[in-house]
Amino acid sequence: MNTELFDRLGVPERIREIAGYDLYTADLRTTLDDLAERTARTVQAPVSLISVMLDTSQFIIGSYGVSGWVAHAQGTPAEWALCTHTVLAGEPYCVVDAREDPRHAENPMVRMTGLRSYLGVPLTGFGGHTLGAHCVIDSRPRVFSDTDRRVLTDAAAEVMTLLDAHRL
Amino acid sequence: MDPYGLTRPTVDDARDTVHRVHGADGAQIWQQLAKSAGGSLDDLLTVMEAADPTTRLCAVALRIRMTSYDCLAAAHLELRSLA
Repeated sequence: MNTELFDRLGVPERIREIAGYDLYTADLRTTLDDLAERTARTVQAPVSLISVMLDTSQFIIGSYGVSGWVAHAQGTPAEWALCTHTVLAGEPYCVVDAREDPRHAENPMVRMTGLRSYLGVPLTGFGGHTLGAHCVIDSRPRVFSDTDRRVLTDAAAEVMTLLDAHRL
Repeated sequence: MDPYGLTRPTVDDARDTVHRVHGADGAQIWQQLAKSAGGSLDDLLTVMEAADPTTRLCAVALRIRMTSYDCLAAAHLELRSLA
């Protein structure tokens, strides 16, 4: 396992903040799925995710267009998730063409799936920590626009409003 | 078999994650979990899922890795059998 990365993601205060939300209720999940679908359709991307980043895994709490083992696992190993970069940066993160990008070309998610481009924005919790990310993924190389980024940023604010209603 | 370098989580990995996310309280919480669970990771995850919200998240993270590993290892085996 990738101990250094997991230590960076597993900061106790950040994980405790994620644990302060009830992420398991069916109505919240359905609403987040709907929100992810709206984002995907607006940005015209085949996949959209809403996820929190735990210490060793990305935990998908809302999604559109996800299938196969990722849907079954409801997440991915943290070291493969592009949202890890968004969370660690605490700001929007963009990949134009993962296959041509030396930072991501060897990522198993890129090699295994049709993932080519990515745009993610952070989800910031009540305590100021970056808890996760809202993102879109496309199967073609893509330069995302300022409008795409604004759609995601506005939707991320909606996600946090929804999550705040599910604080424990 | 380690598909794409991914390994199946172990009890040691569970101990590491509990220590990591609980910080100074990790050792004490781990002792309680280990006492309540049997020796298997499955039993341990069941106990962790019923514990406090932070420990539950540890279990969620480990289950995601376990399911990812199982799915990918099965796909690799299937491919090998076809080769």
